[in-house]
Order: sequence, then C-alpha cells, then structure tokens
Amino acid sequence: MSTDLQWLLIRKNSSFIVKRDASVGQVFSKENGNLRNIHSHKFSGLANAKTVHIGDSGNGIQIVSRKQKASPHAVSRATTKDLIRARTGSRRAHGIAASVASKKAGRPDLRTAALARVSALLAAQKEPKELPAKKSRSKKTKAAPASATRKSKASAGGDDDDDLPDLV
Amino acid sequence: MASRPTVNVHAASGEASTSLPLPAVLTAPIRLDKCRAECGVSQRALQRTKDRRTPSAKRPDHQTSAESWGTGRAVARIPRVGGSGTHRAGQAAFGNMCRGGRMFAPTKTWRKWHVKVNQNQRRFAVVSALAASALPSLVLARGHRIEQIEEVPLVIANAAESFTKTKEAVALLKSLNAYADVVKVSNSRKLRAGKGKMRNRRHRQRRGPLIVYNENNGIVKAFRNLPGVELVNVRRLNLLQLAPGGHLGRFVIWTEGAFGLLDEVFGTFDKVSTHKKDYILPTPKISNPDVTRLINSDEIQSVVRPAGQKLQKRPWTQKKNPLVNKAVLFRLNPYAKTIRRHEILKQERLKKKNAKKPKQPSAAGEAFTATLFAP
Repeated sequence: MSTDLQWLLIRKNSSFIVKRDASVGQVFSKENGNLRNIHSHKFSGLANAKTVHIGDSGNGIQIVSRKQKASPHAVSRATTKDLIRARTGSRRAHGIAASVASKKAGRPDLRTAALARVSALLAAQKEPKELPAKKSRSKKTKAAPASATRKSKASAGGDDDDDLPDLV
Repeated sequence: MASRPTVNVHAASGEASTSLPLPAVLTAPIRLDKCRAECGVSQRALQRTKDRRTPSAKRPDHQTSAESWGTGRAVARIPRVGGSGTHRAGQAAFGNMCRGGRMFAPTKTWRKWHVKVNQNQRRFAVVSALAASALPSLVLARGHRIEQIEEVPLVIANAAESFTKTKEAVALLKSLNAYADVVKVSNSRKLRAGKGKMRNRRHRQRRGPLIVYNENNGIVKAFRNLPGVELVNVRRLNLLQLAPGGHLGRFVIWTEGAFGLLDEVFGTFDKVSTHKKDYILPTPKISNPDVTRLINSDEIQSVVRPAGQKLQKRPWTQKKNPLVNKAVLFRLNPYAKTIRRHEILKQERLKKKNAKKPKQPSAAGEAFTATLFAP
C-alpha cells in the first residue's frame, strides 16, 4: 500500500499525535523514526518506506534505520541498528549519523534533522558542569565586618541619623 | 506487485517454519470513510442492544391509585398513595424521585434500535479493516505494541488451535514478542468514571491482539483470560473487533488454517467467495495510489512542461508598500515615473503662470509729491 495513502489514514488520527498546546500552532508526533517529532508526511516514522530513528540507548546513541529492500509487512526484521558509543566524540557521532541517514537509510532530506537530533542527544547526555559556589549577597554574611566599621565611625564623632539605631 | 508476497507461519517456538501467500483481502482498498460510517452504525446498534431495557407493562409504576393531595397540606403536591393501615399509605408514588416510581422519560418501546446498512457496504468495511490490519504503520498508529514482532500479518501454526492452557498461550505470545501488547492492556485497566461502573462496565482498558482461528480445539479457552485478547472465527469476522471505535489497524494474529481460509471467505479480486453469495472483493479506484511514483513516471514526466526557473522568495526583506515607497512603485509600474514627472512639470508651469506678479511701484501722485517737496 502506498505511503501517501498511509499518511492520509494516519494524518487525522494516530496514537502518537500530540496536540497539547493549541497556541504552538504545530502538531507533534512521538513515534519512533520521527526525527523532528513533527506530525508531517516528511518526518513521519510510520508513513514512509525509508525511516531513520535516532534515540538514546542508555549507553550512547542508537540509530535504527529501516532496510531499504525490506518487505512492507516486515516489522522488527526490517530494521538495522547502529550504535554510537558514549565515548565517541561529537564530530564522529555527527558524521556517522549523517552518513547513516543519507546513505544507509536513503533519506538525504533528513540529514540536517538527523544532525540536529544527534546534537541534542549529545548535549543532553553531557554531564552538567558544576556551578561555581554562589556568592551570597545577604546582609547576614556581610553584617559582621560592616557593622564593626560603622560603629567605629560613629564613635569617632559621626552624628548621622542613620547611625542612631546602632548607638542605641 | 510482480510476485505475490508471502507471509511466514510461526511455530510455537516463534520461529518461522513455512510460508503462505498473502490473501487477496489483505490488499483490498482501505476506505476509512466506509469503515467509520459502518462502524458508527454498528457500534450504536450494539450498544443499544446491550442497553435496551425489556419493556414490561405499559406503565410499570401504576401499581397504586395514588393522587395528589393538592395544596394546603404542607407537603409536596406529588401523587400520594391513599388509605391508611399500611406504611405505603401517604407515601409519594409515580415520580422519578419516588420509591417504586418510574424513571424519568422512560425509554420508549417503539424506539428504532437498528439502523440498516447495506450488506455490500458492511462487507466493504470489514474488508478495508482487514487490509489495514496488514500494514504495520496503521497497527502501530492504533497503539498496538508490535515493534518487536517479526512481521504483520502475524500467522501462527495450527497447533495453537488445540492449546487448552493459558500458560501455553502466554508462552506463545512471548516467543512471538507479541506479549507486550497484552501487558499494555493489563497496565491500562482503570476504573470507569461515572455510572457505567454500576451498569456492568466497571473497568476500561485498551484492546489487545485479536486472535482469528479456523477451528476451536481449545484455543478460545486458552487465550480468553488474557486481558484485552479477543478471539473470533474467520467466518465471523466482525468490524467492531477489527476496527474498534472506527480506528483501523487492529493487531490480528491468525492461525494458519484461518489465514489459508481468507481467500475462500472473502474471495479474491476475480474469484467469488464461497462463503458469501456472489461476493467479490471491491476493486480499488486507482490501481497505483503511490502519488510520488505517479508524478515521477515517464508517462507524466514526458508530457509536462519543463520546470521553470526557481522563484526565490525573499522572506528576510520587509514588504514595502508601493503606494508609499517610490522605488517599489517604479519597479512595479515604470510608467508611474513618467506620470509623476509630468505632474511635477505641470505643477511648476501652473505655479509660474499663477504666480502673483510683484506690485510695480507706481509713481506717487502729483498732489502727494507737491506736499512732500513743499518748500
């Protein structure tokens, strides 16, 4: 059955559709193989004979692509997996994703989407840098040295109104 | 469709043993509209048949000769049972809020429960739903967990028909990697909201795989206790099970015998069904629904004009209003420049023509000069 017909059948109703926020003006879709998670024929992981799925595998990035000569009825048999291990650098990871998407899976139109997804995954997998210790701006921490100087000033002869409470 | 595709038959261990040709029904045209219409009607008919109350007497509540006491007795004007000596005396009757009263707006016995749908249309819907169940993308889109199974349609060996134990059934589904769909159903079980709870519809849950068999040698008992799993004979395939809620793509597991019988039950595109009188599968409206393939075909590409130069739109520049912006106006309408020029020249000419001549100082009057220069 043609993918055009399949898309027409999936377009209005599918278990993967996400239409949560109407103000976004975009319908999303969360099926595997949808690189941008956008509900459209081009990006659909269901209504395409050739698809690439890029996802987190727990230990690096997994790229699952559909074999180009697989039968349209095959499900798990039709997929091949490529694993980008966690220690692979980002340049190499991007290179692998680009070549798998455009050559192995036969979807050169999804090259940029694949790269974007790999970058997003790499960024997400990165251990967050520890933030430097926060400098406190509260009065309590500053209070000890500051009040001491003020007191000494006041006793030296400053008769300002501000210093009155300190004197009392 | 050069060669007829085949589908593997999976043994109880999950391995593919033999293969069968794909029955013609599974390549029938998929018409969502037909399925929706028919499914809606039959769903309604079924629910109504289930919900229907058997009408007993014409007014089952009229067991008493209750009459209203009228106003002035400091009680509601609802009809009350007359007499004394029993507890029933003086109690309200008939109303929907009364004990022993009728319901509000009782369902009428003359209500039309069934809506007729033409037989050919009903069959079209079933055939469409079957064809949709053979496409992995539609089965996935319906929400079935079939990512791990080998192929769709999934056919199992006939040995499964004589399973009698659920344990065997579970083992089979696990070896096919289809058990995930049962787990999904099991996890989805929720208490129903509303009054349906007390009307024998206590829980809601997803639908699991539909198992289609040829002969029941225990398979029904083996599978029926699994949550969400339904079983049906190939000869009695039902749209409500094939496309629940009007959503195509039920996950169907066929036994070998059932799968082999499909060509007989539904016929093929050129062979009449043996189970349905004079039934032939509906022919698709177009033989090739692949639009990209059609557009890129030699027949069409040889006829269409060559593509023109690509029009580059410039989304980054601001749109200029030609009524305000002169440059844009002249680009759109070069004659506007001439008009403007002429207009300016005309204005200048007019200006020159109508310009007020400066007052020539005339000579002072004689009397004036005489007085001015008077000695």
